[in-house]
Amino acid sequence: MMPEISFNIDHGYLEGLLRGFKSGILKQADYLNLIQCETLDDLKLHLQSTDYGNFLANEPSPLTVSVIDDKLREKLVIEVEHMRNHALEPLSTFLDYVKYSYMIDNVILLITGTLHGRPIHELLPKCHPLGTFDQLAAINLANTSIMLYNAVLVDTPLAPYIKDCISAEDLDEMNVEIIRNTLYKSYLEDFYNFCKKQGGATADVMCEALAFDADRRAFIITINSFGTELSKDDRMKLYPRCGNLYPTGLKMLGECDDYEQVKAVADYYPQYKELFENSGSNPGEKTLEDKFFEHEVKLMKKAFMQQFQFGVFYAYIRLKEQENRNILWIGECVAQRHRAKIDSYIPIF
Amino acid sequence: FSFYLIIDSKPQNCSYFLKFNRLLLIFDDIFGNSRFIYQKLDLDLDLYYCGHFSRDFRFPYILPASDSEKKMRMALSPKEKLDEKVLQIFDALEELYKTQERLEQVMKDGFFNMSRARYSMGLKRVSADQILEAEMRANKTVLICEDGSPVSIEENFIASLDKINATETSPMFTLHQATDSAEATPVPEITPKPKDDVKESETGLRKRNLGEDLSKLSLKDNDHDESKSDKEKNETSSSKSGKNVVGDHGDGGGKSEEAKAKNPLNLFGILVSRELRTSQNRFEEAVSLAVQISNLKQQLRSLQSQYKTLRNAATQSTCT
Repeated sequence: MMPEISFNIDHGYLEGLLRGFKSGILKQADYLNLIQCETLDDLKLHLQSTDYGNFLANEPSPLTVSVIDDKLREKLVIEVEHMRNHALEPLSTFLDYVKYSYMIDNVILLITGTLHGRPIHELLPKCHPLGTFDQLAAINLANTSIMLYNAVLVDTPLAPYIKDCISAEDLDEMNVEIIRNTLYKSYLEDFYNFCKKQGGATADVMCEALAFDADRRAFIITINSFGTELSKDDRMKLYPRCGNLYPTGLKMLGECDDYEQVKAVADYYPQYKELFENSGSNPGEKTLEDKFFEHEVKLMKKAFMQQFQFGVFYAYIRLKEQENRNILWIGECVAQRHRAKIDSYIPIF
Repeated sequence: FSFYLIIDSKPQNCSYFLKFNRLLLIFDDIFGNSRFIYQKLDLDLDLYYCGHFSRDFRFPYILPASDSEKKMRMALSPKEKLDEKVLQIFDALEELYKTQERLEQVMKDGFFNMSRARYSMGLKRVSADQILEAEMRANKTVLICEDGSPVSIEENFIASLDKINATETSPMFTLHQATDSAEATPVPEITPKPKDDVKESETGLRKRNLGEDLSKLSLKDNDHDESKSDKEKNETSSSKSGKNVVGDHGDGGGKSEEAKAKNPLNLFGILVSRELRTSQNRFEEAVSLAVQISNLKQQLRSLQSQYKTLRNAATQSTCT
């Protein structure tokens, strides 16, 4: 009842801080400067005049794109960790939920790396810092998903998510992919229910965002699975059910065999119809994934229109991730001197 | 090659004569007599004789070819042979440049698509961390044919004349798939590219380290970072060998373990974005282009040496 009155007691400082961070997100003018860079050192110079400051100052030259990625991520991690450390319930649980997706990514990264014979000490630094947990280093002991559950994940927050995909089969690429997507599906549905329980403006913003995420994953999984060995039944089990596509859309997607059929399914949903409309892989057209990213950015910007809700935290993290992707894309184009599609980034503000 | 004139009227002085020699050219001289040039099939001598047909000779059946007539005309003068050789050299050179340009384009596209895939999949999912460290084996190998014969050099009349004079044999390269590609994991949108592969052979293959050649051929990118050049080497010359890293077999629906382990794209996950597949196609094309370039360079070299011998022969014959 009247959450607006009591919101600021617990979370006002953090929301204020967050809105300050938000105003530091790169604007279109900054991007226009960045795309004119000739080398990565130019890029570093231009980034110094933004909120990033001298974050690349101590890096040895020559600069590489993966170093820039690490540093960009570091900045985000510092901000999020600060907020998490100062958060009270229920914001702290909310932020934890956001971090679980990074945990899932880390687990999969380590499993894949171990599968391919890389030593664990090489892989641990590559994990996302927002997704670390204590038992992460024990991943290399897991050969099957049962072992993964029992030895590694059972005491972590991810334990309930892996229940759906335990089997005694050895981990190989197909299983790892299935585990990744099943973990994410359970996580997403759990997060969705949590937000719904929060109610109010949070539910408003977050449920829309998570529903879009779920639908996007369903589409992308379907499209990327054409031509691979993933069976249709397995595929159906990977679709998160908290989106607009559930239940009929998902059933139709489960039966699709090619891109045109997927497009036909999307035509039933007006917001997705227009995303599929002008996308394609010809030069000059945006790809479908680009359009999904664009739509996400739009939703996230809308989240800032409402106050006294947790959605802004999620939105900020997503927007920062998109900004990082943009900067890295521009960096790669500059490094490869392939300027043809350098403006395929997605401007945020 | 040789012409055979089949004459069905009374054999005149020419018919058997022609069978054991090489007919080069038939022409009318200024008096309206039909004459022909033939070469004695005495291989050490480049001697040409001129004969003539008697007046009521008939030619009901002739196997002509107008450009071979031109070649025969060329064959007459050593200087013209030289010119012909120069033209061939330039042709080969142009072909080489075109192929090199195409290779450059294809490599650029491959890296570009990889970056795009990294954009949508996340930087950490498409990097050197995903590749197999210990047991990489090349997916394609190059077979070298030592005897310099037929695979790629277009055999023409002049070349056969000069084969005896060729002082070196030029090995030709052909690209082979290391194992049977029949059950390879299907990759959608693979552009049909003329490759000389699909040959299963373990013996007699000389495995070249294709990765190194490719990194030398990558023409433009000086600002490569570490992970990218690693990726390049391993995208193009890697495949997963027996999956003994983690215990035994997971099976994917009845396919044999070997066939399933072939596609290096799976190192990045099963559900990878379309751009990564495109990138893989580009790099595969780059591999076959690299082999073509080696063949063209060999061809060029042999043409150049042929030119040298011709030139020496020409200067000798003008001196003597």
